[in-house]
Amino acid sequence: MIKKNIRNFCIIAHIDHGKSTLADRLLEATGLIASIGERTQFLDDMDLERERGITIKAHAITMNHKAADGIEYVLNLIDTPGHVDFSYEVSRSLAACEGAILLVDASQGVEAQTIANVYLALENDLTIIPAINKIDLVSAQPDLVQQQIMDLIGCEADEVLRISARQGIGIDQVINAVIDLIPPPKPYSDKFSSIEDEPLQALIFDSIFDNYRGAIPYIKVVSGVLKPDQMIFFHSTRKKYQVDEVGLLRLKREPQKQLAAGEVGYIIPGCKEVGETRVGDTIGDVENPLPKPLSGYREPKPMVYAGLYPTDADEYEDFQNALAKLKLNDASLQYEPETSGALGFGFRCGFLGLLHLEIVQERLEREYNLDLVSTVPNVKYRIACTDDQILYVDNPVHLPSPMAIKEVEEPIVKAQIVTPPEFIGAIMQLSMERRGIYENTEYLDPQRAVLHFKMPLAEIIYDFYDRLKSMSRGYASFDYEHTGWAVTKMVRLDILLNGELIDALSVIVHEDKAYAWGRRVVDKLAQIIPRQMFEVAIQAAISSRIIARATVRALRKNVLAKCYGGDITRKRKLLEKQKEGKKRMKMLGHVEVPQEAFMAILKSD
Amino acid sequence: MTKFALYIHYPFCIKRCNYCAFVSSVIDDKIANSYQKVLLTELKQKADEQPWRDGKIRSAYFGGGTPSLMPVDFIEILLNTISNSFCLTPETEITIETNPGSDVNDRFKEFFKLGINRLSIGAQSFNDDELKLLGRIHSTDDICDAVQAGREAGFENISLDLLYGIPGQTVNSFQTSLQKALDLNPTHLSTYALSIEDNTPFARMVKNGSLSAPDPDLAADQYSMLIDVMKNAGFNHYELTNYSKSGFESTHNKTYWQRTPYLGIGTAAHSFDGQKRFWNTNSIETYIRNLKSDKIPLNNTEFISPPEQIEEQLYLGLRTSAGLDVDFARKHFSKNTLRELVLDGFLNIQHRKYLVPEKKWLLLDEVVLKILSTS
Ligand SMILES: Nc1nc2c(ncn2[C@@H]2O[C@H](COP(=O)(O)OP(=O)(O)O)[C@@H](O)[C@H]2O)c(=O)[nH]1
Ligand code: SF4
Repeated sequence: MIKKNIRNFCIIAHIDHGKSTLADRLLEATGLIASIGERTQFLDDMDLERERGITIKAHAITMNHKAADGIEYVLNLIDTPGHVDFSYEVSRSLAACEGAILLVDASQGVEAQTIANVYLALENDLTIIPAINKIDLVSAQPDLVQQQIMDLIGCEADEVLRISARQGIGIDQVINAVIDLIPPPKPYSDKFSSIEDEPLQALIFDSIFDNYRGAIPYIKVVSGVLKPDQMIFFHSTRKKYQVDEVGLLRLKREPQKQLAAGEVGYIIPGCKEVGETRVGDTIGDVENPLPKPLSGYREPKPMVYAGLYPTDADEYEDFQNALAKLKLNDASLQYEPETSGALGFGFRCGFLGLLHLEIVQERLEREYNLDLVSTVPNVKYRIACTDDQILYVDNPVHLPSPMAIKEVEEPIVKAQIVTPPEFIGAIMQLSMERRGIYENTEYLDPQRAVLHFKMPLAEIIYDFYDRLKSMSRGYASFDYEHTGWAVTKMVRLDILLNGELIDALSVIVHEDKAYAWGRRVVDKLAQIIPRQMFEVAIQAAISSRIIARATVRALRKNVLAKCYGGDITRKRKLLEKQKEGKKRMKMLGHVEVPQEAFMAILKSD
Repeated sequence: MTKFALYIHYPFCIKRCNYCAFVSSVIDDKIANSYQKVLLTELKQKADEQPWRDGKIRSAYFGGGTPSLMPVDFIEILLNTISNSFCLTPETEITIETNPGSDVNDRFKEFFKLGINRLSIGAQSFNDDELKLLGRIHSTDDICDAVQAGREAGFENISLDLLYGIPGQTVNSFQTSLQKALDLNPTHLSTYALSIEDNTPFARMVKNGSLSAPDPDLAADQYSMLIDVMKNAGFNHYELTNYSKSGFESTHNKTYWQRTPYLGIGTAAHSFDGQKRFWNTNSIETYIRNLKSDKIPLNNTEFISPPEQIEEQLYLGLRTSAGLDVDFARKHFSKNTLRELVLDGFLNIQHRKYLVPEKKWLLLDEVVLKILSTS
């Protein structure tokens, strides 16, 4: 029989509402970590995550707790990311849980992402334990927030816990609710008298790579047992492995004799091949296989595509290896080789969103010591060609000529924006600028409106979120989900430097916005490209029609003329310095363009 | 016997100019006296050392600061020491710098008698407002007086220094200055675009907004006027910043570009013995203290590696109208880049030498960087 004392749960919370603090408290209360002392918050262990305050990766930790009934419970806390870009990762974590703590900041109230994740949790039949955090704050409005939560999940007032993670108030109540309200993992089938007889099914909800041990998937065993030496296979690849080790995730990996149905832990399959253990995949037993993998996991779908290129062509191979390693940790990252006339050899990468792109690029640069250039990101378009062929285009260079296109479709999202009412006007305007179609407004309470829009994904991948945050003084929050495709009028806008088309700077943009985009990029480049030996003509063109232009006048003077009494050394040092400066330039066509140019184009002012 | 150029630095002026980045301070008789003494000490030290010992002097140059502030009898001692230690012929080019308004014109006769045969006058501008802004102590009239005194003392070879790119200066006002300079019939002219150097009053003024930074495009316009005017006046543009009537190119100046040895005596003076470069301390105090206790006043030494030698040959060669040997360049640098630069008009070939065309000379560093970054 499946163990009745297991509780698998996660915490759904908006960034900064106190998820990490609560996780720490739970670890303390269950004796896994000693005290508040010099502790750092536990589940966020990557530098980058800390800096951005986002838990990017779903990690997991197992705690033991002896309850009042004398039974020792096993509590598996599975962490979930908190940013819109990572909704797929959230879905993986949720699928491994039977319950979720819904944590809401008493002074902030329910935010858009929280709503989206709650819906996802409800779809997965998760038991939800609502808790209002930070009740110690003077600005706390627990009654108001309680009403929001009741409206959101349809619970009763007395079901909503009031806690302070920072001050340790109400932590026991949280633990008790987890134990009392969240059901143990569902049994697989009553056909079998012992779990040992069940066919093995284990879900991979995360995966890390260890330099010595290879790929290490984090799993939830759904049925059967998993033991060392067992022969297993991965459903998606059909590859077979003999298990080296299984165990629990505590502060470190703790090897165990076995992991049985309902348990959460890790497995070391002795798989050195990077990219073999796919997140979302199901592990089965070679001796006792089931024909189908577990359902409920979505394939990660990249939404935003960009070319990444090493600035130094010699780093191409390192870059390729780094991507392969990162991919193991990050199932949603996709990439394939591409070449650019301007930038050489690189990869077209698919990301969940712009933030994901930035994080991946930063990790590649920091952890793998690479220096990368990214092209302007874009979404994927569906093109109906005049020859009745359907094409998916994720690289502007591959957009067929206007003559060959019958129709272009772009991905559309349903966006919900939660905001105090005073910002509704500004947000409406921003959304209209972004080709949004307003649908309706709901009120969570008088202070909190939810605006619903349909919007092209292409319009929100740039700086929509930043704009929204700044125009609402940080109050508005935003979330979206994909709804399908819509016919649109997109054109390819090319950038030419001295008449030469620079493929890496081409973008696909809506017809109505092409002029503004062209103008902006041309002006930006004119600011960034330094004057050089020749005049540089910068042009934006659609097909071959020039729609915007700017010039960088030729440099006329660059010489250290004065030579102080034979001080050639000074002269040489200055030249060295200038040489270093030139190294940070990319030759695009015959024009020297600083690497920052690519990043600068992405940022609107 | 090593042939070399001798440079002697005198780091004192009546007053510091607002743009000055030379090693110089306001003259103080006591310090200047000690300085003169140890200058002889250093000269004697070097005269005993290889490779200078018993060497032949190609040219001698008293630079500064304002070396014409040195007492005549001290200059006599200096020159005697030089000719006793090294081989010095009457034809050797011996230059002394002077700054108008320093009240030294009456010494020119003695200088000439002592064998100094070239006078380099820091005119800088013939516009009194500009001179004032620069913080110079002199007026336009003082320049004319200095030139006249030089002529009367017997100097045929007189060089003037002129600045362009002075804040507020236009192409026209520079042309006026230039014309006034040419009216004085110099045999040689050195012209520099003013640059704002760190730790000068000008640098502070640019920083606090009271002075606008020099506009490189305006300087380029002034330069193109300059090269036309100088051509019409019959001068050879024999080096990026130097123009001369024929036969009056500065031997001393050319040493630096030809990578032939030179010996520098005095604070901040640089030397090159054919392989390594070394230079003295910038501090007058340290210089005096070291030499008083018979220590060398060296600041640093730098060995020039073979690749660095080649780079030096590139950028020093292209500074001169003698240019850079085509075969040498093709051997060491990218032929493609050189060819491209020729096609694009940034290099010419004449008598198997690469030359940067006069019109493009202000882009010398760009040309050099282009060559270096593709080699
Ligand atoms: N006053 C108060 N602050 C809290 C409480 N819980 C968390 N915080 C603070 O809120 C901030 C964000 O908390 P954190 O746990 O990092 O949020 P996360 O982004 O959801 O993981 C931190 O400065 C915490 O110290 C609480 O109960 N009361
Ligand atoms: S005269 Fe020359 S060395 Fe003296 S302070 Fe002026 S610029 Fe400097």
